[in-house]
Amino acid sequence: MQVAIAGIGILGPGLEGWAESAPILRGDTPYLARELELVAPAILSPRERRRSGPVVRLALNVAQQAVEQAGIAAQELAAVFGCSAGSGLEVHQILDSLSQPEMLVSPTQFHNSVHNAAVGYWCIGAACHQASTSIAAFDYSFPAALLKAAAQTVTEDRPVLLCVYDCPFPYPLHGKRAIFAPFGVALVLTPAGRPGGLKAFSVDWRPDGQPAALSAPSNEALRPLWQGNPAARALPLFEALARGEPASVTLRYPDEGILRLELGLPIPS
Amino acid sequence: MIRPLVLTHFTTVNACGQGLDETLKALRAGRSGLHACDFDDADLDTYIGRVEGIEDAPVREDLADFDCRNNRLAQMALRTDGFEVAVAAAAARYGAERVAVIVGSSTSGVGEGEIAYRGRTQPDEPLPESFKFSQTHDFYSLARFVHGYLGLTGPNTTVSAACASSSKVFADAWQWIEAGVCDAAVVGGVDSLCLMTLRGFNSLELLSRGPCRPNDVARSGISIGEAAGFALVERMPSPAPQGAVALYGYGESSDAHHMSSPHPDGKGAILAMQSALARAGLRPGDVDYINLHGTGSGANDRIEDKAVFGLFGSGVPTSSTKGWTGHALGAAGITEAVISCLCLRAGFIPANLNLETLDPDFDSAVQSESRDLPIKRVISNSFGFGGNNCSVVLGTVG
Repeated sequence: MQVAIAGIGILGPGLEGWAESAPILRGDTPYLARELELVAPAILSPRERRRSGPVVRLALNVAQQAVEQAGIAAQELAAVFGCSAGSGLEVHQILDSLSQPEMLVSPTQFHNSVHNAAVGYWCIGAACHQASTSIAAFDYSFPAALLKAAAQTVTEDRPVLLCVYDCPFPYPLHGKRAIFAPFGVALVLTPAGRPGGLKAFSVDWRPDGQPAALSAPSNEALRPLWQGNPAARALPLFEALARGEPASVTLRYPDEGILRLELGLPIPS
Repeated sequence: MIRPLVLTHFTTVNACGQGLDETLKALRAGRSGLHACDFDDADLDTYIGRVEGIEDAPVREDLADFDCRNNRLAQMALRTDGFEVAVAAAAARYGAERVAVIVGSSTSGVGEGEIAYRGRTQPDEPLPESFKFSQTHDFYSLARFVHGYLGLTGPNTTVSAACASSSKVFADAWQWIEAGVCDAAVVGGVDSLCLMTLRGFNSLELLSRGPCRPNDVARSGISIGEAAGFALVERMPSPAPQGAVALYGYGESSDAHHMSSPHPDGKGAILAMQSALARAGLRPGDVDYINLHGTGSGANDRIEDKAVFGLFGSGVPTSSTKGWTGHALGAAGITEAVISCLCLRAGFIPANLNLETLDPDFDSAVQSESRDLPIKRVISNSFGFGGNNCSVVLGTVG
């Protein structure tokens, strides 16, 4: 599938936005992890801003970066949000409440606990009535959401916002599913890039169970994040975007297949 | 207009029937699957739609780590109506790597997380070794289980967009097939009873004390149900199989209004139905029956009526079938899509069960009695928390 990348967003510890991250991803500037402060998203109303949990803050902020860079109105973008854990904090709080004798669940926590909370708040903040969805594929959440977003871009011939993110679970769930740090990426995909332009991007799935050719970040310092957060499986692609050169990236998805990404290569006629 | 997809095979397991025959019989007999809540120690004065026999039906031995109520329910449906046999035939025809799995769930196997948390005696105690988070509680568990159970090797994903989850899977499958990612897809959804949804909807004061009564003036909330359903979708073969059921259109939208209340003017609902009609190349008057989201909550039914009347007037028969199945949340979309397929095949429009007095403010043609009537095109609506909406157009080929 041939699409184009019109906007890029990235948000994680020591990777706060494309301007700061691109030199690090190119290897020009050393990567220094520092704790990420998740600020309330500007697109939400003051009331929703106060009540927004970490995963909503992460997703909306990184989505907004990509949309601003793309220069396409948020209202025009279909949205594909992908995430392994969903609203881990709210799920933990509810499970904790259910283990008390009264089993009193907070109504706000309950409606914020759904996996699609982040995309729901995105649409509210962006006043977007387009198609939007929320998909989960554990460590494959980035390639799964990308494959969905690319197919929607091509078959519906429309721009699509892809946003993939994950936040750590609190204890004790963290003991069962260790997510290293909050991290998210976003891309605005549009139908067809100019052949040979950096924006030209091909996304193809194929069966392949061999572990040989999978891509890892070139920057060793990024590997703990890459291994520790499903959204960070996007880092090899983002390194290639930062280098601004044609590149191929291969991601495992699912156990028996790969997603092959080609950046900036001539588009076959 | 889009190229339609044929639903080669489909199945449902829900509170009113395990399989297509039982479900159609229950629909024809007006026999509801709802009864007073007896789920674990939920301790709620409400009705639920519970599937019998899940407790005695562990998952296949090679997938034992995936054993949980949600995956057991999934397996029951895969084993019903010859569904797994039909998928095996498709995998043999196309190759197992050319068949995708796209399934919806709102809570997956969170019941296992509930058991693990409730078993702790100290707040700082870790969760027990026996709790297999990734294989049960995690959202992707369902997609992995179905993929593994059926021996498929294509791309797979779980869609978790609340109560629109297993309606949206049809849109995803259409896009992947149209883009050539796969040749066929197993779509569907599973949600199972758990304390999180029962106590959560209770906290929102959305649970009905008796069986839910969608569209009735005295409706007072939803009855939560559990269900599993699947459909095998493929490109329309040539020549088209006369009499088969096909997906003719889908429409998705977002409310952009509130996490748990629908848009006051039904904007999202209208956009979803309009978009589904446009993809199907239909005018509103071409639709023979509308299977409503019709949850039984005050706001949902009022706003859906407004949206349906605005688009279709009062000429197209409508009903909610949640009085039979309860609200199966992430499995509601597929359950009602399969019910719509049954209605197309049987030439049957189901009543809006438990309707005594239609809300006097309603204008659309809600059916108080079931009737036999040949129908060719049906719209099924699913609207979810977070404002995620999806409508699908299903119809008879030929």
